[in-house]
Amino acid sequence: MSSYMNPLIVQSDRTVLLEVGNPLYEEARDLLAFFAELVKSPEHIHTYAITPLSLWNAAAAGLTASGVLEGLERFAKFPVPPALRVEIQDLMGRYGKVRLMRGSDGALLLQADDPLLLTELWHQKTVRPLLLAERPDGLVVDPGARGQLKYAMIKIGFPVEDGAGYQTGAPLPVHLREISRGGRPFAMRTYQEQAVRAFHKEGSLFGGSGVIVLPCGAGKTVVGIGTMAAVGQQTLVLTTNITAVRQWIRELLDKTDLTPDQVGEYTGEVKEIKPVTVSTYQMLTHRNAEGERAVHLELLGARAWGLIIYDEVHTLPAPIFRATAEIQALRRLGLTATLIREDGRETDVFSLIGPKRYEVPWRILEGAGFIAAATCTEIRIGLDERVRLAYATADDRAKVRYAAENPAKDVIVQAIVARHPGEQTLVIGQYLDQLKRLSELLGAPLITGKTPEKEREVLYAGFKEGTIPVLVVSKVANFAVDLPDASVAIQVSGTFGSRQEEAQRLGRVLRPKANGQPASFYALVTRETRDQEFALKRQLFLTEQGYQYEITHGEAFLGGEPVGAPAP
Amino acid sequence: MALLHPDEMESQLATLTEEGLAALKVVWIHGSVGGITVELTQQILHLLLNRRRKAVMGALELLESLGAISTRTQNYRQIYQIAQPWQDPVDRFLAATIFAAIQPPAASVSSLPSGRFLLEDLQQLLSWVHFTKPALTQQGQLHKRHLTALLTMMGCAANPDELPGRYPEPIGLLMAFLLHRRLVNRTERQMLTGPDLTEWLALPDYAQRAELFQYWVDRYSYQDLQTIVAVLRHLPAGEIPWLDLDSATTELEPLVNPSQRGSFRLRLEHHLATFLAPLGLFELAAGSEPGQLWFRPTPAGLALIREGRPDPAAEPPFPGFWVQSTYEILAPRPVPTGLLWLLESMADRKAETDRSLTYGLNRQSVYRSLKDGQSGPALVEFLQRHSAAPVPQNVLFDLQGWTQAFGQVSLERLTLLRCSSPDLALQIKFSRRTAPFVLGELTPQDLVVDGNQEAALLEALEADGLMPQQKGGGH
Repeated sequence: MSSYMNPLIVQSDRTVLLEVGNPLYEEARDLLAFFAELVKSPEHIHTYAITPLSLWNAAAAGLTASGVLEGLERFAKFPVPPALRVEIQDLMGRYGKVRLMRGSDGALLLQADDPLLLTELWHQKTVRPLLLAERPDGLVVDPGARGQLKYAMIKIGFPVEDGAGYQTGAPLPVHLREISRGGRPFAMRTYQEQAVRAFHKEGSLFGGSGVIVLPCGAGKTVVGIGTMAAVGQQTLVLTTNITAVRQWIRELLDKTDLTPDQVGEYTGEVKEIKPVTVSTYQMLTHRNAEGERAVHLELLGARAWGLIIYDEVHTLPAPIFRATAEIQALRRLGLTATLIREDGRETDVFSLIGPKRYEVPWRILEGAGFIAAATCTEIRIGLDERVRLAYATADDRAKVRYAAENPAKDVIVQAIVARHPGEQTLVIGQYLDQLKRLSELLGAPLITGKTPEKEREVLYAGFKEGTIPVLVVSKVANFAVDLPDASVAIQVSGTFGSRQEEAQRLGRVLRPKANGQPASFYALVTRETRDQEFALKRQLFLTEQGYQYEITHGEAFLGGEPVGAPAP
Repeated sequence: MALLHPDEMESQLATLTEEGLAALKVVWIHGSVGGITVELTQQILHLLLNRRRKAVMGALELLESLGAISTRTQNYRQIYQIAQPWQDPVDRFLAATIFAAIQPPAASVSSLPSGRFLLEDLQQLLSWVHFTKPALTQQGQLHKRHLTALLTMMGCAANPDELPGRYPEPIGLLMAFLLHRRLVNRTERQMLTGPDLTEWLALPDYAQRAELFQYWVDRYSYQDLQTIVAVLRHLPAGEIPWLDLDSATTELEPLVNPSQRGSFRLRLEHHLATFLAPLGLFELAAGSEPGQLWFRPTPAGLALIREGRPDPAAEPPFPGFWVQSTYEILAPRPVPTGLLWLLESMADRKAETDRSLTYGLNRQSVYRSLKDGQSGPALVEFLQRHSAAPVPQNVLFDLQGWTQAFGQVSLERLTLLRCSSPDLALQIKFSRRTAPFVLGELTPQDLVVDGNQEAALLEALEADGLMPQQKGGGH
């Protein structure tokens, strides 16, 4: 029963506040993970949202409304608002009311226990065009409109439980190695195995589609590989860019018994279609000319795929959604660190890829040592005397750039590198002039979008081996670059307002270190300028995730030595 | 008339007829709110007892003969009252009878949080007046744009064009209270915070609540509403029971002034939901049957009703707010009004739910507070003192930076002293009399002098034999 000593404040607007310092915090957090979305998790109070999707996700996992309400009451400081009780009962009651099943003749049928509901759906204007006939055993659905139907149904508030099954892809036995090809012992971690089981559901009709949410550095690729082993059918992997494609291929060959002739790359450079094919979203949506159909979209039907893996599903572009709507008979696995999309299309992910099947918050993994603990430091530096006048007289746009490229940052970068001897360090920035300058100053190689792929691979390899201790990289390093030994990241400039950018950059250093050392993330910001304002926006996402920034002035960091315009 | 032992009085009361009991209830209930005239008593009983005049008179005579009621004269009118020796036994007996009738059977309740906190609303309104200084029309009403902003801020859906020259409740009560209590003043053109603001802000919440409750009692002095309050004074000690609004209506409405009948339930529900529950004096709950509404006083409410003064011990505890590294301050409701005043001053309200308020700290909001007279160290100390957990380093760092930046640039009143030649300017700069006024020079002939000391400077210049001419009408 509710008590003031409990950790939850359940509010009428369907948000739930969780007090981190409360002795019952962990129990309450584990409970909320089943039916609420973590919106933000700063150090003292975490905010969760109970949404229709989160409740349907919970219902899909077998949770009942009374279970949810009992859990809330058990941990709440105050009684659960009556209106919210009703809403939870109503929303969860809708899941499973309508099911997609196969009829005895193989027809795709929309079924419900309530015949009146079926009648209502038959006359519903957005659903009706997707139906072929009304039969005693259900409404016959156009087989090509399975995805569209699920999408239309969710829009009218009735999530469909899809039990119509999947087409069987061409078999492909995949076995995980106990010793990787690289010679290191390999086994899936417990949470990775749980994620695979939650998705696959032992091959039942109610598994096989959905999303796994794991934080950066938690080994989402391994979950994908584990799923391929569980499904045992030919697989298409779609990811964000060519570097990520090659990373997937390397991981597949390193950790499974698949051979190079079984794994293909389908990119602008190489076009192989093999039992396991890895490609990019950009490749699939590429058009030769405006108005022309995406020429490589046929890849989706090029083989008898049994599974499609959507890496970084929160970045899935609209054309892929449309194509995915047409391939609902295939098993679909989405992998992501966050279900929050910048474009707000979370319902598309739910209806077309599937419900969230598994999630582990990063704090749990950090506590268990699966991802590195990180300290984030923002260093504020005055504007260099050489550019103060230019900054003062520049227009707003130019001001942003002067502040971001502030030469006074250079000496701090050098000081940070010196402070972390022997640690693999990435210097990440937005502006090439600044990066070139730093590259020369530090004697470190520079990777930009123009660096040829082969050269990049060589530099990445050197960095991994430790022969290159410092690497200067442009925004190309934001996504899906695996740099396992980086333990220090220095962000010298960034884009305004991108919630993901800072998280992606921090993600570069979150992989656990062999010596258990924490990672260090530095953000260099020019004081009292637009740069500081931009930095605050970028950091918001991470502070909401629970990372704390310590702020210091450049002078203090250098032990009192002046740098740029003096601190106030 | 023989003196009876209180136990004997209660035995006598237990034997009363239906008519006698009804008459006793009428006198008792109205006695709590100033008494009832003989004529009104007869009028109420006449209706209550189906116009049986004999029964009415018989019942009253019986009570008088027992010595349970007596009359006194007030303003040339005869007023019934409970006879003094009978007061305690009658209180016990009737409270037990009435509460038994209006108390629902024990069942699990679904409490209905009011979602409003009247003291917080009052404080928000005060802050708004203080920082906005809203403009008034010639009729002394808020200008439409300010009224619209006020309604939005208070979450009122009313259309300002359709308001008949008065504020929707509960803003009406709050605004009237602010004016009555001199927390807000109306000048010809503006609404401003008033002279008693500082004293008010120093009051603890329970004292503010008691004042607002008393103002409600005075403003809405319907006898029927007060009867329910009067009845609740006699709630038995122990756990405060839920009371059913329908049963209370059935039991009490026939006993009130006939002119106020018919809308008793509606008005009681309105006042409970709009004023008394948001003031933290009552709780509401959905009954076990659809449409049922239950109510009961909170410990703070009962203390105020019973004793006529607040009980500081009955105040709900405030655990403190949480300052997070996202620059957000999250405060569980109700927030003590003293804290709320500073929060409203130094941070922007970002979100409001039934259980919490979220504020955002930023450079502008802190600047607003500093301009209002707060000091940087005081703001830092305030956050640290009331935060339930340590204030994050990044927030403290920025807060200190913002407060240090305050006043680095300031506007000063200066006057230009133009001289006919550089030599004359030099003479003024170095004269013993005039030199203290000179702050600097713009050109060899133009000196900058303190604009607040023009009169003294003129005197000094004259004393030095110069004849200054004032141009441009001053500054």
